[in-house]
Amino acid sequence: MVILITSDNVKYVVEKDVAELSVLVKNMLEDIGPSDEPIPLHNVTSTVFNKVLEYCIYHRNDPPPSDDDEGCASPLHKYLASHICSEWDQRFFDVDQALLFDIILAANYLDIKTLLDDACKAVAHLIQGKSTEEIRGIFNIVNDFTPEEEARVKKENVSS
Amino acid sequence: MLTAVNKILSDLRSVVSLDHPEHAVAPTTSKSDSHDDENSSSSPAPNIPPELLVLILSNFSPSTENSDKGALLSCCLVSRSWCNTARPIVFSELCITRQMAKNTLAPSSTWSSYLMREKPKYSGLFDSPLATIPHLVTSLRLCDPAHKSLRIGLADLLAKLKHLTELEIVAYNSDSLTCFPELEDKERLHFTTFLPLHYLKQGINARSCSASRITSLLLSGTHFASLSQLVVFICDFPYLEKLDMFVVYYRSTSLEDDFHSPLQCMFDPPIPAHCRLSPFLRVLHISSPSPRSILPWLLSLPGTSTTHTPANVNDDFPPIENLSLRFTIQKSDPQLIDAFLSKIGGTLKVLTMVIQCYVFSETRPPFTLAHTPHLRQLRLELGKGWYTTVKCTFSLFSSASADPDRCHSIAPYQCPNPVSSIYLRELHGLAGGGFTFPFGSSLPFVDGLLTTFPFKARLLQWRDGDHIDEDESGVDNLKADQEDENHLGAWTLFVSGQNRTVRDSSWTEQKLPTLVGRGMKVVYLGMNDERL
Repeated sequence: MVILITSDNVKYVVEKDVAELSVLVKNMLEDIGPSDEPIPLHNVTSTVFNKVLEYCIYHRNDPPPSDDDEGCASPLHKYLASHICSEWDQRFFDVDQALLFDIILAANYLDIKTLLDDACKAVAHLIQGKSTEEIRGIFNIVNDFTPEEEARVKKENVSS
Repeated sequence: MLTAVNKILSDLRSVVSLDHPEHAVAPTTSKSDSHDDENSSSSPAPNIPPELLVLILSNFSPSTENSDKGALLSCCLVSRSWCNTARPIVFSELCITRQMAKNTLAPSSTWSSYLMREKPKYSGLFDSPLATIPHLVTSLRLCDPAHKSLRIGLADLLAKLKHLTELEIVAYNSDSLTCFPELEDKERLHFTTFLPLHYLKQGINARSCSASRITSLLLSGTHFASLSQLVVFICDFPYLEKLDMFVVYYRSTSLEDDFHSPLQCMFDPPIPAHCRLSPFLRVLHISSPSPRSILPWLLSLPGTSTTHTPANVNDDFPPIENLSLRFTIQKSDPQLIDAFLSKIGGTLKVLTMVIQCYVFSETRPPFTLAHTPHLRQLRLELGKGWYTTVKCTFSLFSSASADPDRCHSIAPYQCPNPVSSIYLRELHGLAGGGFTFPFGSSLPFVDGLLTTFPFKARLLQWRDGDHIDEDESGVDNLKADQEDENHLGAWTLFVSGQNRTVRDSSWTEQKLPTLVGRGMKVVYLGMNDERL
């Protein structure tokens, strides 16, 4: 078992194989060796970590992401990789946008590649079909283009 | 994926910081940071770092299943930082063709198809000193570059693509031929028989770094004047990591000759002795009417040395890890393939062999994989072509091993007939013990197939034309089996059936992700020319 403490001081006792889905945690465990020392997760709140933990437990038996280059992947593997999105995953990412973004940041911090990839897909799904204004609204972004810059980008977009 | 993302980030930084300082990446201005903003949202502003934004937007790239150019173009207009992230994805792939035939010549995944005859449309994008798009192009697909209308200006354009890493030359294929109805037969034959390359080389060599940046070269349906021209051309890319020669011919004799003949003409110029493949080559795909078209030259090169030194690294044969051979072979050809596998097999991890018209009367194995001790993935497709009977014998793998990362099944097996079934059946092999496949009489080719699995493995069975009988195939047991850790890492053998693709099966789509997702190793045994 591994003890993890989130940024809001909530303690979690997690099975080692689940915790080690996070490369960050795995590396820290290797660094400190056998120890009951709790591992602090400075950038993750308990609210977000609950979701991360839920994902890790469900996917604990998945194979680790392959380091093979693309050329080594078989056609079937590529096909299957693009289709693996279970109903469970779809339900998991059906959360409010703020939490979804926090999951991305947490996955990036904890270095959980599969969660990061899946969460990014979920955000991409949010963007799909939206206008520029709508995307700005989702991400709370102000248009910082000058009129000339915007016109040039529009022109090049048309030409693409 | 991470490599691609890093490349985009790298390109993005170089373009932004060096060429267009006015577009320097500015931190995304968040409304929550602007306290005076009346429209400030009540929800927290998601401050997505640029590297994560690249990951998100990469889901729309042309190479992905969810590619969405419209979404990316919308993202280009969100803000400067979003623009700097989205534009490299939008313009990373460029296709240049002369015909209004985007749908046939240009791959559906490529968006930026520019027609040379529509020069005014793209001239502003590429010719202006202020143009930014050339810096973003990393992959270029040239369709029909031999045509005179494409030669004009192409060298100049190539010189502007400073970050090009992938070059694809599609001179002609069955699709493109139908796009040129105005060509007379003779002209068409001439066009497909000779590819003048000097203008292309000018463009590639226009800047010293251009060719050296290219790591992936694909020649599709390309005709060279001679083997010498082909060899010199591919050896001019010193940093190639991937070389794909898909139906590459070289003209051997006259136009009246059968252009499928790969025999070198006695008048062809000799291959320069200094020609060597890129020492960084790891992926080599060869599809040709005959192995005699290219293998003799490859065999003439020095072998792979086990000890690389600065002195010999450029002379050794590069350690190929992924090899694909697609040939139509004659009786004397297997020895050639065998010699080639023997030469480079020591480093192979992935091997695909698609063999057509494979006819043998001998019973001894015509070639063996005994020289591929590190093979992890094998795909065989043995097509019968126009012959009614296929007989072949393979020695599949060198030996049984306790290392689960290696291939373990052992041959020989014989296949007197093309397979029409995919079998899904669990193998109850004992660890380290021998095993006989439980094939029935419907699969005569595997009668007598002996395999040795040092661990449990299963064979997928799928009868062609039938619905999957889950009881018969043991599908119901698969889920339970997955809980058995002993099955993790088990080999799964797919024997693909005639006139059947795995994609056709809804069953496969539902079940295989679960299976493969458990980390099973996969071996393909396709007995005809179908594609998975």
